[in-house]
Amino acid sequence: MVTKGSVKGLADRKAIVFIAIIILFIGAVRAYALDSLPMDSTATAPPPLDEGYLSDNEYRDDSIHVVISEGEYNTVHYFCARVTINHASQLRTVPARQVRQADAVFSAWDKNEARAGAMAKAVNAVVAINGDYYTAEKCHVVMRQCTQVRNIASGLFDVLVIDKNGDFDAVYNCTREDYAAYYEAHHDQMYQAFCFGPVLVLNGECVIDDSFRNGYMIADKLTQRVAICQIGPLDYMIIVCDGDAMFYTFGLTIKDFAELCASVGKSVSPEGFRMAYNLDGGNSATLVFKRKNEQGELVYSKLNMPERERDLADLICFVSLGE
Amino acid sequence: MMALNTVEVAGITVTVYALAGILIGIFCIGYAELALRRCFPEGTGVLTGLAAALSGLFFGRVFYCVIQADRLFFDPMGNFAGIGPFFYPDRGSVSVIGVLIGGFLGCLLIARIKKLSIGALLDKAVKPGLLAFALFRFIEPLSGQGYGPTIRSKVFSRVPFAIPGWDEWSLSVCFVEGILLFVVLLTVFRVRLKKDGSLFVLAAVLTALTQILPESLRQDDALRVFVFARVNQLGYTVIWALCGIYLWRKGYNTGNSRNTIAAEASLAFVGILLLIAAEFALDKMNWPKILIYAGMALTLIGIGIILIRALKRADAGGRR
Repeated sequence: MVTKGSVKGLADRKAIVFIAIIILFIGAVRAYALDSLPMDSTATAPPPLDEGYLSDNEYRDDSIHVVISEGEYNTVHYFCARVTINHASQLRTVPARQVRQADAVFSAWDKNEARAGAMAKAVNAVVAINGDYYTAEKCHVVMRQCTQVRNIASGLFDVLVIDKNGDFDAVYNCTREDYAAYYEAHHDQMYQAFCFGPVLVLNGECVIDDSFRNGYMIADKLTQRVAICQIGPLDYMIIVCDGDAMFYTFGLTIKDFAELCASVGKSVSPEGFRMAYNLDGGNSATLVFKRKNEQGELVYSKLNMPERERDLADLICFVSLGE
Repeated sequence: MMALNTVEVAGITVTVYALAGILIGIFCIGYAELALRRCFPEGTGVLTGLAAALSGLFFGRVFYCVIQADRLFFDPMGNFAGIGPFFYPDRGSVSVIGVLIGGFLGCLLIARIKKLSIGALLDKAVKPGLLAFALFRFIEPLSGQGYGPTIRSKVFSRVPFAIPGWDEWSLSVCFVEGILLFVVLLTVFRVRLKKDGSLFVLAAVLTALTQILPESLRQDDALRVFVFARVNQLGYTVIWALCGIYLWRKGYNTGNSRNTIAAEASLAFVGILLLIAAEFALDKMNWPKILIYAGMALTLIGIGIILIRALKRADAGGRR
């Protein structure tokens, strides 16, 4: 016999089950949204949260934390951006064409250029730096977002390889055969490959000495420099120093920059950087982060000198996985 | 950026750009026939137009492939992939400089075969040639190219002044180049020169000089060498320099003052150095870009004045 009390009890149990299902569904959606991004495409990430910008030098949400600091080395001003992420897919590369065409691809014919701020905006970057100017003749090895684009390596450059776990590896003085062999052995795990270098720091120690020379990176001149460094799993540091790319009157040589990177590495971790890799410097050196303008709006701003942005061919950025 | 739309024509899928290009080609060949019919046997215009078009396409592709050889003929792992990609229209593009040189050689071939005055033929062919060049520049956005820096002005953020991206508008550099080519075409219509070939040289000089500055604004797949130098800028510089050498030699042979020729050639050489310095400054210096471009424009105008003076002397054929 159905009583009033039993009908109410049944309704309560149904309500509890219904609410539990809703909670599980929301939890599943949240877990899916925070998981990862496609690694084999230039798909745009979710936009960073405005409330995630805790100051002009810090961003934090559930998937990424960025802290920007400044310092001086040999009277040269530099920026450091420490980035910790949840998944390696949050470290992404962007071609300049992305500014004009969503989901642009890296290609051998590409010569597009665009401002770093425009590229960062197009992909919703939290923090970004210039790449290795992949369209230039001197960029001999290119792999982006798991797609192999070019291998005309000639032994002049160290190649940085980032795998799908976000870990750094390098092929030193890479020749075409060296890269082909490396690709043969590791292509399933390869995510990005950059061709500029050199490797500056390895296992905490500076690996550049006074004898290092390379005309392509103007190694012995004072100029702007950029490095991307790995501290640990999904834990990175970007270092950008100021300089003068026209008359080379101030800035850092490659050796000085390597020593700076080693010293910064030791300050953030007892073991120092696992690896620090030099990228295209000079006027290409660009560090982009959102800061409030005079109207109080968050806009992508170039942090390092000079203020004017050079048009770039590609960008390395760190993105959020959204809320 | 405008997507590459395609259409079906007689069962074949072609891009709208290719279809528009074919229509422009047919129209300009027809115009060439009308233009040449007054002075040359019937059919010369069609033959010249076809020869110029085919030769232009061939040499345009050859130039492009030579410059991009390491990307075109090698696969992503650096292994030689054969010469097949030369014939694949979706692999890269053609070089404008190669097209112009090929077009010139096509006209030269017809003049030799038909035993016609090359100067007279070129003078007549230059108008349909310029028209075709200008119209191709106007339709360039259909190929996904032709854009420059971001446009912030709301007034100019519209077709045809700008090309829409997915988030912002970019300057339509190809539209600017097309307008300048129309100005050159109108000049060619108005000017009267005496000697065969003079009108062609004038058109070549004006075309080359007016295209150098807008080429500097391109941010599309235009070929570059040494990081910041555009291949087209180098090519146009070679074109006007060769015209200058031709005019000074002609002037020298007809008794022009050596001092005048030496002064003009030296100033033109200084102009080349200034243009190189301007491109270098755009890349390395933090000076306002508008000032650098103004300097480039003044330099190009100065070179134009020098070469037109030399052309007038050569056309007059007397001592100065």
